[in-house]
Amino acid sequence: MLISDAPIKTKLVVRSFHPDSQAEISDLQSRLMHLGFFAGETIRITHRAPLFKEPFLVEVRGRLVALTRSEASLVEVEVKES
Amino acid sequence: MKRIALIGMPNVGKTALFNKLTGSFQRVANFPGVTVEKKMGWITEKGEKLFEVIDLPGIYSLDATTLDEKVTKDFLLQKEKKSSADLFVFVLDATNLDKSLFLCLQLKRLGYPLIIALNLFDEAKKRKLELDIEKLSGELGAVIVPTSAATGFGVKDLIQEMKNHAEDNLPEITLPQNAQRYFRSPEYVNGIFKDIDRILGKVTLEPLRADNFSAALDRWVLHPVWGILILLSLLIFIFQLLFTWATPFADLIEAFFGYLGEIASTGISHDLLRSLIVDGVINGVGGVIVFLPQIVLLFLFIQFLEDFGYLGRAAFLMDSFMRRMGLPGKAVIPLLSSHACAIPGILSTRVIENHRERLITMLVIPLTTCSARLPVYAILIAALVPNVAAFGLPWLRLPGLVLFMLYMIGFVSAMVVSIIFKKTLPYSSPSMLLMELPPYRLPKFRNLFLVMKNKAEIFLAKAGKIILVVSIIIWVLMTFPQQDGKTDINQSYAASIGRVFEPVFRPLGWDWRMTSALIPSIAAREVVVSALSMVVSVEEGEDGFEENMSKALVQQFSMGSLVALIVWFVFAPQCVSTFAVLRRETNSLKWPMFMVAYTLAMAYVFSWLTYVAFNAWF
Repeated sequence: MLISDAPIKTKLVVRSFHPDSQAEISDLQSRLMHLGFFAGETIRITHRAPLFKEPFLVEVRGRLVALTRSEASLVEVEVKES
Repeated sequence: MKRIALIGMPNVGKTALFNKLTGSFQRVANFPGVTVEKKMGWITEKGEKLFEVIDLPGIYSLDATTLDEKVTKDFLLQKEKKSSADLFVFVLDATNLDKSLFLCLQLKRLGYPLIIALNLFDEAKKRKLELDIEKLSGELGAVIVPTSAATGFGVKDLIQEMKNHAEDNLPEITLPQNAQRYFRSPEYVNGIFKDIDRILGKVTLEPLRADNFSAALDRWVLHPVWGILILLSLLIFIFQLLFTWATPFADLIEAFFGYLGEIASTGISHDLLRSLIVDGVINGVGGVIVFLPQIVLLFLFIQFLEDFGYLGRAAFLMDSFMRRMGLPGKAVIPLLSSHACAIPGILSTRVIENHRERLITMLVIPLTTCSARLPVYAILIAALVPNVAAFGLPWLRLPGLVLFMLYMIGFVSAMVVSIIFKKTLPYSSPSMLLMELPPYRLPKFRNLFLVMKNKAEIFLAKAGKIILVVSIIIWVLMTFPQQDGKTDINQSYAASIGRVFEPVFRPLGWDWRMTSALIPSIAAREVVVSALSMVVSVEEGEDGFEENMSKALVQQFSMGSLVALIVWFVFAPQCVSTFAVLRRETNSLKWPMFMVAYTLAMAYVFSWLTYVAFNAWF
């Protein structure tokens, strides 16, 4: 599933940071990757903003990163098995 | 003199360290060709300059996708020289090594010799972090100095290390082929992350305790209901304080200029010269400087919220809403700071990567209420609104509430106009939010003080130059031509100019006195106060300047025309400086002209509607 569909306050593991791995890496994808949205990283959605249920606030490698819905749907995750 | 570059990722306390290192020996300029702020300062010892320091914008990676990143990257990787600094000091955040090491390892891989300042060390200690610093130093191949910008701990040692390495030769730095592709390849990024994990595993003796404070505060600040309420009450609170806190300081400044005026009146015997000094210079400049406390306080609040970590949260809360207005959430910061002044507001739109969104933000910024409008509002509100309690609440005064409403009208119209622009301006590329929210930190008095000092100097320099010149020009226009050595304001040049424009503004209820006072406000808004004080004959009284002025306005103009004047200033085009900055930032004449045209049209139409409605009502 994508971050935008993932449950809140649950540990998630990033599966792939850009679904279309053939294409050139875009600026946006590069920034996501540099912030730690990388296959194998554990992340957690801590908040979703009021009104429109976005942006998403995601904890990744010790930082809090705000993502819009479209940014959040670039990253594929799965719920971490405990 | 050797030059030191201060490098680091965002939110590691780099600027605080820069301030601690350089004290007040600093200045702000732009990087050549772009509008990214370049902060330079000097480290001094016994009054002598030791090193020049450049505070580079904090970046996440050498893969430059934003303007800040490009500037820092270009500075670091300059081709013609080996590099652009003699020493590189890298700032790490001890409370968050995981996130602040990425850029450090990138630079090490390229072969940069680094001196590492392990900043926020005391806070990390408090949170029980134990590090094997020697091992970390070995892993990174660099000297590590634990520092704390807040207390000054380690700063002397850091300077000593700079001295130790000042004469080191810089190695030749070669860039990989096709650098951007290299920096953003998953293999490369993954390699660095693996390195970070490996190094941290080795050197961490006792892990950091979680920052429970930030998480707990975020439960309130980002709460769907409480979060919005906190944001709104914070804004109302700030504007109420602006009026109550600034008053004693403003009174002091007023008393000072009153005293100056008295000395000049008695000391100068020549009639014309006395009039120039007292009416033109002292009253003109003094009438504007009175508002310095309010302006400085507003900048203080904005900087406090920024340093505390709240502004990013405000952007997060507002993003989805703002986006539907055609603005990104990041526009909250420029829009908020443009309440102090449109110029820093327009400059701070650089955080918005998307061209179209940035343009829309810059175009609507003039509609937000800049502090130069405060003097005008203050005088007009004092004249029109009785100082009574609103809604029976003794702490909520009606004038403060009206002021808040004027701010809201400005803000709401900015939103409405940006929706219109969103629908009409050509579409380019999708926008990004992708923003880090820093952990909460108690703002440091030193940083706040430096910002306030900086803003006060800019305002005073502006008052000193533009407003002084304009005050004198207005005085000349109002004093001449003289008849039989006497001035009759009705025959002055100002009156003639005002009369030319009078027919245009008559539908708004204004006569030539008002229109002639409006002309100089193009140079700087606050000037309209001194201009008005010269066209209406303000009687000397027991009360202060503001009270006398307000009385005179109510006596000499109709209520409707004064209300229309307030509305005019809600929308009217910004000062010439705003025009100039917008021209520079958009690199075109088209957009600043467009900005003037649409705000002028709005100002005229809404003032006219207000005047008509007011007269129909009362």
